[in-house]
Amino acid sequence: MGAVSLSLIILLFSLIFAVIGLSIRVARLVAHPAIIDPSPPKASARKGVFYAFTVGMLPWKKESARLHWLVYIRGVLFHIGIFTFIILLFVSLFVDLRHLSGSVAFIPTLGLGLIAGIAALIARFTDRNLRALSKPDDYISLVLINLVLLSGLAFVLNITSRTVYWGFVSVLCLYLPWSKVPHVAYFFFSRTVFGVMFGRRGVLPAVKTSH
Amino acid sequence: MGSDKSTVAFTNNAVKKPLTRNVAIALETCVRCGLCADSCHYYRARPLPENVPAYRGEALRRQLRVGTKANLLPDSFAEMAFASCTLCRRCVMNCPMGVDNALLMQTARSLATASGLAPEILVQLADTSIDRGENLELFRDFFVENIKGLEEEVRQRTGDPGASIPIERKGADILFVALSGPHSIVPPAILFHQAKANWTLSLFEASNYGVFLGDIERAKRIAKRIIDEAKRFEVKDVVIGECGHAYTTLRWEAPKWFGGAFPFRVRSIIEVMAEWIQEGRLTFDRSANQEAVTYHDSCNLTRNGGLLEEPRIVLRAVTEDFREMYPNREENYCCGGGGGMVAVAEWENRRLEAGQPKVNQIKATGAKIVVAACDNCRIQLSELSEHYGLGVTVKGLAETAVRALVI
Repeated sequence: MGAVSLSLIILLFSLIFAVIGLSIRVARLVAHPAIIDPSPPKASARKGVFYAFTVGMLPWKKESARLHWLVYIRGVLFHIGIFTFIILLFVSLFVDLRHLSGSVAFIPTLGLGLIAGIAALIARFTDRNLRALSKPDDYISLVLINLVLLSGLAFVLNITSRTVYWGFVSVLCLYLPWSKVPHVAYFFFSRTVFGVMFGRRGVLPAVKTSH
Repeated sequence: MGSDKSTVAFTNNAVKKPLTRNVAIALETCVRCGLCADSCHYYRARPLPENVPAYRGEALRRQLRVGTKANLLPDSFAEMAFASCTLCRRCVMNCPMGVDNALLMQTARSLATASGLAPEILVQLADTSIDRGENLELFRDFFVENIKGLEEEVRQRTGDPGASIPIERKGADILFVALSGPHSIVPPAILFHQAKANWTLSLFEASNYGVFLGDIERAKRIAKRIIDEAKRFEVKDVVIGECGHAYTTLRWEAPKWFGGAFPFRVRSIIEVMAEWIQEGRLTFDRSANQEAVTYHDSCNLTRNGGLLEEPRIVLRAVTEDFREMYPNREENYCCGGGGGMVAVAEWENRRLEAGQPKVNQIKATGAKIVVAACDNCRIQLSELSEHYGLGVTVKGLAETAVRALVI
């Protein structure tokens, strides 16, 4: 069995492990009893949820983003980098990108994502609030994702092979169930709860009152 | 499995109830990015890591991880739960993930209360309300006598010798639930009279200190007094006086506790005033309120309650120079008096310090009158004015409206 085949098997095992781990965590979350809100709504929960995932995510709609726009941009670039590495991973399963000229398309977003990830890691060490808030997982998750972004970049730049990239992705996947990375799934729950509550109450989007 | 064992903790020894899904979601979702920091008035007033909302949420996670046995909770935890968060939900608005830190702090309060560490005054106030509900006969005559005195004032101010403050009137359309004190009864009574409303005054006060304790059982018993009274008199609407938490509690939270919608509407006196103004049932002479007026959005009425425009409809109709604070509506700053803080004397300094962002907002408007539609906010704003030398007068919304009412 060649190195590529072996690393592919490890990667697939890790991916399945991550999916199962994430599913268990989500299942545990939804096993908690839900409280149905029978109060008559003032406005639409559906509109609130739509708002929560669209307009409500715009930076100028949040004071926290307006005040800390660099942090906001850093976060956006970092997550774009993560989505890029997921696409890259999928493509790399079928094609060795080193032989494709189009692979350079991955470089800007992976690169910017990596820069943003490194900046986030530095902030974890240097910012007083973040230092106080951070748990070991905050550092470990960031380091692992930065390594995945770095190895992905090295792969598309033809510096290393895809097995190195797959190796780092595998490590991240094996750690994922214990990490904060599942917030990618929880985000949808949390923003939905947010949208339902503020939507029903007519807070977001704000209701023009006419009795 | 999971980054934090607390997140899968299903029960807690002290509360002996499963965490609800929304609490579990709030516990799981925070990524500790710290972006919530500046949204908190405590952090704005004193920018320390422990004043970052996410930090407080993390303290709850730690506590749930180790499990809480009654009487084993550290005092510092109770102080965090009660004295460093007013449950205003400004951080929720500003969280990229939408984590409900206020819900987490309510959970923290319920742990502290179950462990016997809640502020004694809040417990006493809640239990007094429950006693009142269970021993109505003991105070009814005294209450009725007091209301007769207020009725006289209503007659004088309306110039109508037939004006009244009806009590226990079956078949009334409106059950009005005031707060303790004439200031919350007389102005609405004048408005009801002028609008020719068919109303009756509740025997109970609107406040619900069980909510501040995070104690749903107490809160339910306090709310039940009003719900039973409304059913007994077969009213169409329960109208809550100018009180932020009382409105939000009965309007949005209590139906969840009782597992169903009520056979009456729950409204705020603010909504009713706005409606009557729009319908032309009340007319005003704005020149009676010529001074510059600004409005403080109570967090419970606005962010938690959804009353964003209604108070503005009233103020534009009854004042000549209404000036907005910035930010306002759902982005308003808490005054620092919410969450039961004004009731706890030993936290006065902390409360006044946390009110600094609000002080700056008021100063920027140049207004000399601050209108607030919440009693706790009014107490806090008056104390802020005195403490910081603002020189503003704090008034209620109905009181301001009555001043301009054409009778």
